[in-house]
Amino acid sequence: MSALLLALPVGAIVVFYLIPSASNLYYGFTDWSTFHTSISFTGFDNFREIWKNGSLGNTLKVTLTYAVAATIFLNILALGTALLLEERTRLNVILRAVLFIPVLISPLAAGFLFSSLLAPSGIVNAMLSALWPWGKVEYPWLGDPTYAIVVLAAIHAWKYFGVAMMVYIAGLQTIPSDLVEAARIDGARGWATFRHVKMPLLAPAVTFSVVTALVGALQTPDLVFATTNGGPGTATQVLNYLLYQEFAQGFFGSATAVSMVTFAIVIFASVPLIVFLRRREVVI
Amino acid sequence: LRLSTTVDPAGRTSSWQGRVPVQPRKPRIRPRAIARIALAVTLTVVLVALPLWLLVINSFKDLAQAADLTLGLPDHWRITKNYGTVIHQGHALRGLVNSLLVVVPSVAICVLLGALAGWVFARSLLRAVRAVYYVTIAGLLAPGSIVTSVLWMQKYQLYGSRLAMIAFYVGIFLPLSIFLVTGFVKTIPYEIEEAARIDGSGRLGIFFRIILPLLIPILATLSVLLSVVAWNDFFSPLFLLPHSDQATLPLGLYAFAAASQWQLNWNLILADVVFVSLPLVLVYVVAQRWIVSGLTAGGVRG
Repeated sequence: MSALLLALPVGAIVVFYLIPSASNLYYGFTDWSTFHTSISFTGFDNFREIWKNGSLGNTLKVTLTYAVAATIFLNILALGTALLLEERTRLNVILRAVLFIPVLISPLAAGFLFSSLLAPSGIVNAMLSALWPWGKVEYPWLGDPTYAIVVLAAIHAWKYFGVAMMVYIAGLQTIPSDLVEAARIDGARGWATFRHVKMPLLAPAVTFSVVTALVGALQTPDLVFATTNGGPGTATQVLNYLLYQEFAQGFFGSATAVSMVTFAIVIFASVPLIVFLRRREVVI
Repeated sequence: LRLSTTVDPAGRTSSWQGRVPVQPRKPRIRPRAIARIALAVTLTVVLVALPLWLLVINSFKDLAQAADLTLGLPDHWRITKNYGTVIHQGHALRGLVNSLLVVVPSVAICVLLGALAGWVFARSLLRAVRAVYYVTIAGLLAPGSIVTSVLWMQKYQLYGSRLAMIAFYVGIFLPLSIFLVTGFVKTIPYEIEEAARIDGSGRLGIFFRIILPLLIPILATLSVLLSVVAWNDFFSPLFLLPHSDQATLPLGLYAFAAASQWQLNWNLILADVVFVSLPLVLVYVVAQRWIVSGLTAGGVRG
């Protein structure tokens, strides 16, 4: 009877998830493309090719920069706003609700919004020009080969920090008030209370927010599609953007190889991070 | 004025003794608290309110004025014209229908099958079923592989129809559904089911009449989470919905903004951004609590 009830859900997972995922391990090593009528095994040729033409090395650097910067920005923003809005006053509840709105906007839409705001003649530069006494600011936020990827990471943080903020607020509210009170009586001021009482007890929330932010940022090309298309040059070509380009050009084997790299990075980055952050968690 | 604490004959501690009338103390104005509120309000305005104001107000302007992207109100209101263009040339209404046609079945299937499988897994003591459970939730670890999914959907003869997109979502979301439901079912006492069994209910009867109603909180959380992710997804439909007449809202926005004839028409692009974002934001206004708890599921313990 169990088998009968499980047939449909387990069958769906096997057919639509496990088989395509498992076959990923094979097709990355083939010459599968629009240019061949058959698919044959070619070993590491795909990896060698994208390594030799520089796109793999570049995309690894770009993706890691983006993911690490986005994770840091996102968590600082989330923790800062959570500490500010920790108390459950009527105003704070409204402010939290407003700060959460970007979570609901699609990352692609957020990308288009910010490419309008950050255009060289856009409002951000106009506002900076008003504050900047030495002339007009016309900084190409999304056109700078070095910093465009960092700007994109900041937009990523803006789009996703609401979830982490709510998780941190929930975490702060589970801290017993007598602990904070005891620290205050012992003479701890704001920063010391935060550093030695709240922060250690927030560790589970930190683990969740840091890991989900990193894993998410490693795989989100939406902002790149909406703003820079990988440019200037290849300065913002993240892994999944490269994957789409290989796919769109008909190099399906190469695209699969890129997805294997993404998978490997996600595992190698998140597993040690989870182990490390878990060790820091304390229980009352 | 003497503050005294005395113990009354019954042994209860009481202060004041009612001798001195309590002076209503003026609340002290704490400068730190005010600075904190000011900072919180400023941050919220600068981070979210201002960008969203710019988004909405510039989507109401004409082309020339929107090119400057300023905070001010439009000189000429172009609401119907801009949104009309987005709907007619950007096919935004079609995108809305297409998004619903993909997201609603995907979420419904994941929730229903996830509830069923999660319940069976949580209640089974067989080792073989346990093993199958671990295989099914292996999908929590890895993202779906989109490129080979295209190949397999072709082999399954689903590629080119919305079913391919729905099947892909079911494949990647079902493991999470099962995982969450299994954990939830374990908190429901088994005695409830046993009582129903003694009363003569069959297994499916027990599931639909007893278990499913009890699962509503977790299924609501799950539906919210999956709906938001699927609704905003742009990357996988890019591969699995090749026909433009099936384009979901994000795909339609991308096509519209990339079309050379609208490039730098910020009033129109921002109008499309508003159109794409509005459905979820409206749902959020109505069902805020569910949305927040759904999206933070997993991060909040206890």
